[in-house]
Amino acid sequence: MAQPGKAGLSYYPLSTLPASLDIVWCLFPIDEAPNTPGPYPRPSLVRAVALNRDQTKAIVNITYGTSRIKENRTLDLQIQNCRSLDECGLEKATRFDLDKTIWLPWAKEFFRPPARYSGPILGHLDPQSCMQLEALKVARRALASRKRP
Amino acid sequence: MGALKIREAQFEPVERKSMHDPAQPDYNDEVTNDQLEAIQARVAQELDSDEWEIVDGPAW
Repeated sequence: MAQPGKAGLSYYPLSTLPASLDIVWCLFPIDEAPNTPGPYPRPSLVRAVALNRDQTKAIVNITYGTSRIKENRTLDLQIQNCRSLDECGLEKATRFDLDKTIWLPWAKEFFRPPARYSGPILGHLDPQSCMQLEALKVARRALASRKRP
Repeated sequence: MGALKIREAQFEPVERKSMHDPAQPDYNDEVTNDQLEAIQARVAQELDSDEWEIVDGPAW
């Protein structure tokens, strides 16, 4: 049974919790209404998961996915080949912007699947994409160390 | 030469119409920093109302 939050959110039970590198359906906000969950779900990549002190509620740190592939965004995770898309459960080539992460309550208000999906967890990052992510982490660390004074 | 073309074609962006749900909107738009800050502000009260401990991750 979902736990009620102080802001009236309908938390999912912890038994439904995603793991890091799971891909979940998230209602990200849109320009027209930036203060409310977006009108449609988009795939988002889980970076971290946290529990409250009583271990009754969870929040997840995610980054959003967009089907707008950008060749010049070399430090983003871009999943484009058929096998990886299949294993991740993605329908389209998708770019995850690793710079834009956000903590959100693991609640129905923010994580809602499209009609034909049974739950908010879409899939898990496939091994090839995991390797790509590891390479990106190295490249990002190298870039950050070069920027340090 | 033919094999080279096939190899290049494997890396073209893919959109599989056969699996695409027409009722599902595209997610072709991007999320701005302003949008992220706005939604984070909306949930700040909820997040500040408790202490949270990371149990998995961060993955990057």
